[in-house]
Amino acid sequence: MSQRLPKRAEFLQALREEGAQTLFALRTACAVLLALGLAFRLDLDRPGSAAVTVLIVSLSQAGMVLEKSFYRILGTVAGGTAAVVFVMLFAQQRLLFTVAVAVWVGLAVVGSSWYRSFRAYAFILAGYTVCLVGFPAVETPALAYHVAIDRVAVVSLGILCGGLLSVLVFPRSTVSSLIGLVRGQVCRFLTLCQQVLTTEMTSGALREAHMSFAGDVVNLELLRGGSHFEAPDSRLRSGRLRRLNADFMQAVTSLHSYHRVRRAMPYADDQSLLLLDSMAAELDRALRTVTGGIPASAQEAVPVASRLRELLSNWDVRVEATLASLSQTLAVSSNEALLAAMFQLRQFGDEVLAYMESYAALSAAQDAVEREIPPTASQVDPLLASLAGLRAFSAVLAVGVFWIASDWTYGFYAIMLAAVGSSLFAASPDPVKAAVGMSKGFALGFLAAVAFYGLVLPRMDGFLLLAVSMLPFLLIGTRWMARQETAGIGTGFGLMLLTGQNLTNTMTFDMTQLFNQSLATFIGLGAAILAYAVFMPPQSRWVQRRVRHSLIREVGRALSDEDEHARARFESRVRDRLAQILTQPMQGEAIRNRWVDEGLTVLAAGLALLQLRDENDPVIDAGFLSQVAAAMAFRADFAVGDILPAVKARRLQLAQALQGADVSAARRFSALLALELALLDWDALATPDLTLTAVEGAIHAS
Amino acid sequence: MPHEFTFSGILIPGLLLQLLLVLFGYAGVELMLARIGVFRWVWHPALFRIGLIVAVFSLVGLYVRF
Repeated sequence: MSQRLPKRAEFLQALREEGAQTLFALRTACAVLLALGLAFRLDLDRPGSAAVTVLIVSLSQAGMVLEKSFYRILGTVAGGTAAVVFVMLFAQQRLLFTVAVAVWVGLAVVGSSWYRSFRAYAFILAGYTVCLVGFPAVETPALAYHVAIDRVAVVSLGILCGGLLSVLVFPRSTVSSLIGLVRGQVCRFLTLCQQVLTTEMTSGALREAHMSFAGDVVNLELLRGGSHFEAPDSRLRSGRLRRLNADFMQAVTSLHSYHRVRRAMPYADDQSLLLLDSMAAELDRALRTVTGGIPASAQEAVPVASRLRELLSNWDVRVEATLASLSQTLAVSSNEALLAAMFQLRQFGDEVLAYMESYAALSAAQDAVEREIPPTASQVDPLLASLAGLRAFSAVLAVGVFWIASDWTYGFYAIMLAAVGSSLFAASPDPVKAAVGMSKGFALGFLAAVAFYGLVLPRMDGFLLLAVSMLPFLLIGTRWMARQETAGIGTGFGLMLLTGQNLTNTMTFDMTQLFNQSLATFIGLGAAILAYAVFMPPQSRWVQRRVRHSLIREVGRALSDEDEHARARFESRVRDRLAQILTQPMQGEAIRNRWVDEGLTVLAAGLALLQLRDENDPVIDAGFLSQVAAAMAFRADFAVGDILPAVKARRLQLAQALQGADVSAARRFSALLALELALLDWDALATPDLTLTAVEGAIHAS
Repeated sequence: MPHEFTFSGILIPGLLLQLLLVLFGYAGVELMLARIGVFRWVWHPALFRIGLIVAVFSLVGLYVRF
């Protein structure tokens, strides 16, 4: 009997998901038809484009639809203006015009790589709108302004219809997804804390947690952007959410640092271990509600935060007292290790308190006085960004030159698609796969378009009949779009179906045109795919090495950052790069794990270095710190073994100076030990034999 | 407000400018309403916002003369 219950719940869950997806498909199809109908009524030149816009901005969550729409219209206006200017300047010379457009598209791709949110989409749109407006107008320059206005009008109409239906008809709220994400994040993090603080936890499980948290941090930023457009009062929580995200990253990192020190502790004697674990358990208890559960909402986190603050306020006094009583009985070496571990624990306590306070602050409707945090900027490699721009430029130029040389009537369709394809997927982790997915959708959509155009449409009279007969075809596409895995195919299908038949108020049926246009579309997209596959694909070894090295170089960059926010900035930079690495397609689990371990080690080493820099110890001067950073940056592939003895010598020197309970000396010692442990891990990762055995171990274990 | 006016030979509808003006003004009004906490008492915030925009735009379009 008990076996049946989960099945039932699973079934209901599946049913609910199915319902949501079908609702999305129906709503999107209706919005498409609404836009199409209005475009016919307003007598716009290309009613199909309004419908296409609806398809493109239709995402599952209402706030996201509005955000994407907003950036789509911005990009369209910018691109339309540029197109009119280009036609004015270069209409007499097709080659000049093509080069200008290709440069523009390339620059747009470069610009788009600076953003991880829908802002990037505005750049992409500005890029390819120039093709959509400019090439149809270049034969008849007098019409350029008219074409541009028509384009802006159909896009506005499309986003109006898509936006209205998605916020009014059974909307799926971004805000509630955001609340769910934050609650889930807190819950998973506190569960992880419990595992680390009370029981032994394997580094592998910790790594998995880190990877899922990296995704959370990115998703939170995305949803935060979307919720602005959906609910005006969510803007009031925006600063607090950003702070929550920053505090979360810091708390995760210092939990990891504590784990590292605790893992190195088995060499200490039992008494100090017991003491440490009892303090950790006390911290863990303070992180729970009165009933021992995990706070399920921001409201419940308020008392937790205040109890945690109370515990930490007299923590130092207690630590000093216990240490003073213990120092006679314990061996000197274990005493030091215990001190270091306690300071890591203390630091983690402070950071988890900040996180809990940020979480509790979300329960208030209005902002309290906000602690300032630096803005999180996405990290861009200018060389890789320019290469992506160059790739788009070459693809557009190549197709454009072919168009001019062959005097191909439908050539500009191919140029348009080359521009769309080479900019739309530029930021995708696997652009070839994404573009091929879309072209599969194009192929299926082409078949549907031929069937509809040849068999159904000629028998239909008036918009109502058109709408009714088109609905089933549209539903195929939108139903695919509703599922994440088939979204690319669905979009391609819908695009081809809607643009293939050149819908206008007075229809002319010309099957040859449909075939020619589709052929040009495939050739254009094919050129973009070819460019992705040939020209610096993101999977290439060189690109991956570059991304990895730029992550390691962040350590040196952080050391020269004298600002008070240096730590938060370093952390957000490293995490942003780590998230970039994680989205790349990798050759196997073992390599990906190694990269993540490397990133986390860089994070730990960098934080220890920053802490040591701020302590201004005479033994550990700035020269030594930059020496360590240089040793790490010098070679990701060589061991840093030669710097390790120097670090160890300084640690022993500090340990001798450790008398009684000098708090600041103990803090420096703890940071230096953290640095040494991180470097040891780094060494283990960089030594090929060791990693090979680790990989083999993983293979044997699986 | 004239129906249309020319900008270097290009005809631009006057209503478009009014719409832009309303949208900018509306963004400020909305933030104010959110600060007061109006949206917590509204059943369907999206519908409320659309209604508000339509009302303000109609008022401006009908009665504001430049």
